[in-house]
Amino acid sequence: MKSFNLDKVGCTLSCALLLSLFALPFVSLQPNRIMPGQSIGLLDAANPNTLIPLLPMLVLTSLLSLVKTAIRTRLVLTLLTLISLMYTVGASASQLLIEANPLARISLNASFWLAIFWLALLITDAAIKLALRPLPRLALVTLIVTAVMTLLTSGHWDSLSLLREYHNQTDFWSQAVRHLQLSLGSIIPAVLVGIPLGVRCHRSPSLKAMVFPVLNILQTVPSLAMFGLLMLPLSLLATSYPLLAELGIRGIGAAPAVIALFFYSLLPIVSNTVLGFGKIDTKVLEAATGMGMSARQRLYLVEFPLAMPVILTGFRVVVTMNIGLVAVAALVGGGGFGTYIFQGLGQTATDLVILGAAPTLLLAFLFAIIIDTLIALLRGGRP
Amino acid sequence: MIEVKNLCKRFDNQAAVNNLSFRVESGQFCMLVGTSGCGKSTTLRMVNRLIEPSSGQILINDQDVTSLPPEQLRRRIGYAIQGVGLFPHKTIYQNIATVPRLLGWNKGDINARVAELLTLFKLDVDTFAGKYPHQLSGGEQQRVGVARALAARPELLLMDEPFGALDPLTREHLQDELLRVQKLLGITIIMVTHDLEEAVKMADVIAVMDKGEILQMDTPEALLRHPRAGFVQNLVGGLDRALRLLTIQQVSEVMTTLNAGTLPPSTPTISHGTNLRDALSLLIWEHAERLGVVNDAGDVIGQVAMAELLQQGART
Repeated sequence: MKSFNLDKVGCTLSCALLLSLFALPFVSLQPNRIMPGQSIGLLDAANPNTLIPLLPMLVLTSLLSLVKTAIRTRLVLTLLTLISLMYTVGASASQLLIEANPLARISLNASFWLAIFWLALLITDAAIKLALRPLPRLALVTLIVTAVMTLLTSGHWDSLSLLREYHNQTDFWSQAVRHLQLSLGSIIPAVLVGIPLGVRCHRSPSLKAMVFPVLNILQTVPSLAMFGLLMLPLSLLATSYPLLAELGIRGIGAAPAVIALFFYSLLPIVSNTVLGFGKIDTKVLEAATGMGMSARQRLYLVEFPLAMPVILTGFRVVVTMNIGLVAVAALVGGGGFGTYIFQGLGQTATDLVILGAAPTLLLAFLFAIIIDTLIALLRGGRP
Repeated sequence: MIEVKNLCKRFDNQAAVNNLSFRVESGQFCMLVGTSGCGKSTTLRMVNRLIEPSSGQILINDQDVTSLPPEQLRRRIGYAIQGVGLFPHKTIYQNIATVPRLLGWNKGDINARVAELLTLFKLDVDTFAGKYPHQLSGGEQQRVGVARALAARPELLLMDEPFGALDPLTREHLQDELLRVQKLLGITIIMVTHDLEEAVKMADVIAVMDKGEILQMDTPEALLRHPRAGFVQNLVGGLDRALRLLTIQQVSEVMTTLNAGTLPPSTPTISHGTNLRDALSLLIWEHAERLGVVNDAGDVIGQVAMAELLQQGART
């Protein structure tokens, strides 16, 4: 008899998916924007018509997740389930609002978010089992993001409170640009300073012994404290030198945010540069010198290319970390998605918080994937 | 011609190389032999100025090595080391092309040279040029390492235990190949090894080093027959010295020429490039008294007899 090959991971994930979807509240109906709402389960929220695409997909995905075969089909089905779920929640929200009062809001609830989480894990698991190469992996992510963005811009989700909040904010995209400016604007100087500093630390252990404790201490200062600590000297500078103030160097705003993030970025970049250079086989360096490369040629032709995957790993850490930290920078007037988070917290408007948090998460995730792809391409299959 | 004069190197007031003087003629294969820490690698690395001497002089074709900037000097000298040190992020083509590129050769010349070298080391150009080092076996990597060292047609090749990390069979293949290539190109080689057998097999001249000094520098045969008392005697004077002597010569050097067809058909035959030790081994194995010597085409060109072979390994 052919043995039944149970996929433990897939089995666990699909059980968790079904349990979250049917046992927890799917959406909540709030009488207005800030009042606590009434929880509604998936089967109560959606009428049979809106469930038509979702239920068969769920059944098929769950069944296929039990076995270790047909991973490719499972991946496609999981993606379709994800899209059906997003369709169902949009359609249900529109249905529910027809009967409700004009101020009522529909918010996404635990079962939806958890289902998204389990589906994401199922997709990741399938991608790992298929051993997708870097570029197809990136293509898969692009496909998912495009699908989600199409759905969001189509107006299908407009009944949801999250999209209402989005339409209320006229500056969403300028905050997005601002968010990227702040996070990347601090990383570029950190790279320009951190990599040369790392190379020097690699060459001189005594310099390393001096630099690393300083960077470590900088890293442990809580972000809010760091913004606060920078505000005082920066505002003093701005009042003493009006020219600086005109350039935007003030106690509040972008300056303390960028400077603080710059400090945070240094340690991962410097330490990964040191690590990357330290991992290079000394035989390779001896050969390079023995063949007549100058110190500069050796650095650019041999050492940098070999250390680059490790340096980029540090870069990825910094990018994801900074995209998250910029959210806090909104507190000192830095702007970015953090603005919505703090406004939402102040108004107890959960969906406004999510409007700030979700894109932050998505950005960090996307950058991590892109840099991972780059690292994998650079390694080119080398061990 | 390489001439080393009164070369000294001290590390923290400890003499690693002590007042060394020797000459290697053009086209010679010179082996520096000694235990680890005897200063042989230090000596080698002073030739291409990876280490600067504390005092003394090294002349290559009467030109002092310090008269050139170190990078320019090194591009003119091949350098191959144990563990190869191929660039893992570059293809075999790019690895071999390193020095020609540093020297600014044009693309066509580089292409031709890489193809020529790969062919020389019996590596198929189309198969290997685009591969990365980690896709090659240890022996193939070392071949590429030597090819890379020879890329810019250096007159002098320095080798620091290049075959040390290879298995015995691969090592033997590569030794034979290196000898073939050296004869073909007529380059001068200075090689460091701790393996006396390797030295005796390959070298034209062997310098035995201990504690930073050369104790004896001689042809392999002279070294084996007349070692100086002390360290050299201990190194080469083992019971197998007669067999070592036999590895020096090839059957073609001791055979008596023969007209085709005069050998009994049952006589075992051996290739003319085989060394005498292997020939003796074959005689023992075959219960034979004599061997027919064949050339590359397989034609019988001579014969060697057991007595002649034994005579070569006897003390004089």
